[in-house]
Amino acid sequence: MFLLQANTQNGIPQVIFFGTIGMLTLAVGLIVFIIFHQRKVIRYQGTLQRMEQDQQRMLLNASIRLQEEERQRLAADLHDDAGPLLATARLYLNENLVNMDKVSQLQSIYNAKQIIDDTIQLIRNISHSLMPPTLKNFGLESAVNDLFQKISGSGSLNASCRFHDYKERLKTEDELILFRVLQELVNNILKHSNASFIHVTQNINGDRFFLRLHHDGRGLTQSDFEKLNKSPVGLGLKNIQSRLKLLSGNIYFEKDVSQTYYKVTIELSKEEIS
Amino acid sequence: MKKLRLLDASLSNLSTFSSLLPIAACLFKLRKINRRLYAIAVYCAYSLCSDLSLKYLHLKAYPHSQYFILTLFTIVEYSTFSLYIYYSLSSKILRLCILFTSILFISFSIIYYFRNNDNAFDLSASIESLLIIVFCLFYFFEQINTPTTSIIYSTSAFWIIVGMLFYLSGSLFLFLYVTSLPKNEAFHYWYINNIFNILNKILFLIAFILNKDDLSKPLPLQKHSYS
Repeated sequence: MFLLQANTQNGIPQVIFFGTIGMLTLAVGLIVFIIFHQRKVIRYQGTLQRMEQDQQRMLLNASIRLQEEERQRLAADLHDDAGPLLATARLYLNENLVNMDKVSQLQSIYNAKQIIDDTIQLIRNISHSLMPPTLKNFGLESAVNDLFQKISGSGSLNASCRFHDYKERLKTEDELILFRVLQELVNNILKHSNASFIHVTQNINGDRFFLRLHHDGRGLTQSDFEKLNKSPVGLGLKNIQSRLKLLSGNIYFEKDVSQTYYKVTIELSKEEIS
Repeated sequence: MKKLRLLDASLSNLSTFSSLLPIAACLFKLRKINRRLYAIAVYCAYSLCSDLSLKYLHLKAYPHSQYFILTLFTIVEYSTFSLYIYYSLSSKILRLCILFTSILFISFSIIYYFRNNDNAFDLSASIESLLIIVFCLFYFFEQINTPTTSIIYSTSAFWIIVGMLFYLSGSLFLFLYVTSLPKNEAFHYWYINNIFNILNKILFLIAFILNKDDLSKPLPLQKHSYS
């Protein structure tokens, strides 16, 4: 209304009017864009967070299940092997022993001693499976060497390892985690890949610690690993990931450039493990 | 005609006293408001004083004094707005950019005030508007690039910046062309500035009422123990 009263000869009122409207439209457009864009980002972040939480939950479940399986295996070993052995030893050493002749007594004691020796060996094996003594006393390199010697000794495949930069040992608990991860990977290779060799190398590049595992069997790529990780199957792989999360480490599955070998790389930050 | 003049006068009075809204909200929440909002409170108080002095001191006979008040208002307005945006940004480069531009602008305004004989404040006001609009874009740019879990309009900073953006983009063309109009006609268009000034103060009032400083960041993912 004021515009109509103003002098319109030079067209300035129109410029002011349309300029103001234009600027205002731009400002409103910008604000609307920002609000909508931000809503979209928030929705996306929410989905991402939910996915992460689901993944964490799955890993936690896998880890609990594995722990339960381990306990069941231990219970079964103790109940089915150690229990009967000790019960048999008890039979040999029953009250009638004093009434027996000397030869029978000696025979019974000898048998009981044999059974107790077997039980000791059995319990030692269970204990070693829980914490390999080589790992505890001599470190990861020796433990992996030891494991690979046993595997190579079976004659089914050739396993070797080489640690290039392992002058200083990692913390025992970190070594145990890495050893379990390697054990799980090797177990998977033995079970599923039909490989003829496994080779593990270790080296440090800057502040990154690398463990690389090569084999020539059927293997996994990163996409296979991620797929299995998101599915309810692949308990071992989930366990690998949950163990590596404790060290803030990463694992990559890939096919070698030559397309002949599969390569698994475990990458850790030196700061995190030293 | 009389009705239109009355309407114009009412709008002008409303615009002047609209500054009281954020000031009242600030006084009401004096101890609770975040520090950045003090800059806006100072701006509103100064805006009220400046408008009252222009309105009631009958300075029409003293154009130079009027010019001085308007120039000083432009500098104070620029300083408080840019100070608020400066503290709302986290990027060092953008902050440095504001600092550097502010030094240039304030120096320019002072030099322009002394060298300009036409008693026209339009150029510094136009440059001020453009600079603050660009600074507002800096703020929005940073907000777009910041991961957050809360909506942008839940913060007081958003309403302050929107207030500045509406007010200055709405008045920009007026500041640019007001001196090209005959002086007896120029005041007819001042209603544009009054409308946007009222809108600005209402948006500032919302900001004072919200009084929420920053957007909440997404929660860091929890580390579970798997041992």
